[in-house]
Amino acid sequence: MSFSVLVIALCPLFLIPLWTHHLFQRVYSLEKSFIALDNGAIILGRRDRENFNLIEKANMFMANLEKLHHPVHAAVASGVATPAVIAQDKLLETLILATHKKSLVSAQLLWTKSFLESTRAIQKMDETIESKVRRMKVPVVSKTCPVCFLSNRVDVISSEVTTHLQVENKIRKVDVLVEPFIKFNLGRKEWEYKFKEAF
Amino acid sequence: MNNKRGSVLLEAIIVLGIVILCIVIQVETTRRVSVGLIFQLAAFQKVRSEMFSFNRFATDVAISHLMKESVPFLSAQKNNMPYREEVQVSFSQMKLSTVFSTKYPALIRLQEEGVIKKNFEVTQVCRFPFL
Repeated sequence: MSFSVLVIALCPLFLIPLWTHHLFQRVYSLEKSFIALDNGAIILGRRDRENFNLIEKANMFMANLEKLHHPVHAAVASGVATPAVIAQDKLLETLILATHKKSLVSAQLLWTKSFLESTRAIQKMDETIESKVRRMKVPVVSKTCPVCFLSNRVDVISSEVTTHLQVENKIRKVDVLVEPFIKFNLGRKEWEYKFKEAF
Repeated sequence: MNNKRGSVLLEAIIVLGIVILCIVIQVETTRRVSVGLIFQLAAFQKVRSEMFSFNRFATDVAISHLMKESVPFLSAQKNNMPYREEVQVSFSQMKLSTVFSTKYPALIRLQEEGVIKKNFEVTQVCRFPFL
């Protein structure tokens, strides 16, 4: 038997490493996409949780200020207040409004920053985000006090906080939903996050 | 003349035999590798699902679908359980792992430790990478 015929006959054996490596590459790229997506989702969930907990903290602070403000405001409204009380009323109102404004601005900044950080974490692993369903504006609404008509509360619209992240892969798209939710810990309102599979 | 024809026939039979042997080895190796890889992927998906508390039923369906599509010969076996899965969770030691294992008839019967093995056994373990 000639040597060339033997080599040709053995040719399929040389293809085994190529095929198995191709299989390995496919599985490896899929797992890499999953890990990149999870990293991004974890960062997004943590940052959103911090953001919403900061809003809750600011709300508590503003509620405490309001407890001080209401009697002072009532005294000023009655028209018998001294200049010192009027000054105190103005100071409290400014403080409440400043806290409210700061809460709104920082919420928007953190909302945008968290998404950018999550995108960067995904891109760090050479993966690209295929689609994302997330509001550009932070889902919060301002509440006004019915007594003194001051904006003294920022409420998170919990139905619009979910983010859908999707990473494109050669085999299939992998996606996950990051869903912050409210948890009551010893009567205190706290935000947590969980992941859900998107179908 | 007859001798030459006979030698060509012999050569053809030998080459055909080698080709068939090559194909069998190739099929067996590819099968073994694909089962190992798919089991590893399934174990990864299962452990990820457990870690993130995804819906177990949905994950099982997805894994079963993956097995049927990627390694259909396992599902075609006579027994109803083409593979075994085992989730080991131990939060005290921060340990979460999933084991997928199967046994399927081999095309080539190899002798190991004096015993001819008729089946291949594949076991893949995936620990959650963050722990």
